[in-house]
Amino acid sequence: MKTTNEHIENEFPTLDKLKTAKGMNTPEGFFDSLSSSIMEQTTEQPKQKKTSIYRVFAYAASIAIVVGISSTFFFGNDNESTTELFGEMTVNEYLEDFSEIDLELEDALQFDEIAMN
Amino acid sequence: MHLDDQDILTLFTTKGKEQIAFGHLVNKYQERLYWHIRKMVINHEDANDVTQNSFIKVWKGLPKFKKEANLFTWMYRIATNETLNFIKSNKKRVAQSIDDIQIENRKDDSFFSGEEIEAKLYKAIGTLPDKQKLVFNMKYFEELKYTEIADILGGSVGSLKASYHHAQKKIEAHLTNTD
Repeated sequence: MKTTNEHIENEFPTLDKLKTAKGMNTPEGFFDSLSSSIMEQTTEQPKQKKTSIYRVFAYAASIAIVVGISSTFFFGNDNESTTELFGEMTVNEYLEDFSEIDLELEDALQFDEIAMN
Repeated sequence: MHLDDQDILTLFTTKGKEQIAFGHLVNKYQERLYWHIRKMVINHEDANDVTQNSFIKVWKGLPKFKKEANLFTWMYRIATNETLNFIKSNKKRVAQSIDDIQIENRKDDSFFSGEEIEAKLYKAIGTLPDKQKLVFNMKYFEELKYTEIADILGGSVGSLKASYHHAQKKIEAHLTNTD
């Protein structure tokens, strides 16, 4: 089987002769100055993956803000509707009222037992 | 002596050693990437700019680079993209650079010292479409394997072989043309 070089030698003789052609030059010491120029532009450290954690926090914070604002609207409305139902009643007053109802029920049951007996 | 790519990457992940690692990378690959770019844009100053831009992109992209990938292929791909973008936005300038390769009175061009036939070779390469030019340069001058070229440019090995063969044919015809 022919190798690439043999192939060029047979089919492309001029190209084969020019394989080692240099032709193009660079100024003297260019590669020393090139590496220095590149390194000068890298004084700032590239952002490591750690920064993505901050991004996650930023996303979480913004989500929390959005949820907070929207919940103010939703729950704010619910509170209003609760006060509409119970008027100026506080939570403690509401609980006390229901405990009185329970007592009344217990009393009624006791009366029923007496009547049965 | 150059460090192994994996050693450079390990050094890069060590806090405070990023620049030292990158310095090794620049020293190891700057000449190869420069010549890869120079053969496409022809003009030295343009090649210098594109090489620097490519390395800056490498520097910025290194923290995200996956160790299991091939560093050399990745860097070549960045340099190739930068070169193609440069050519795209500076078509006239690159065409002028190809025209400027002096076949006669070459002393005028301080960055081209080749013989007449060499100048003719570069002019012939300049007539190829960009992708074919890349394939030709990477195979003929840089002696990369077809699998490596496929990793960098994409495409199948078969299509790259065909592209290289067509390029050789065109250039040989150009070189042997006495007009």
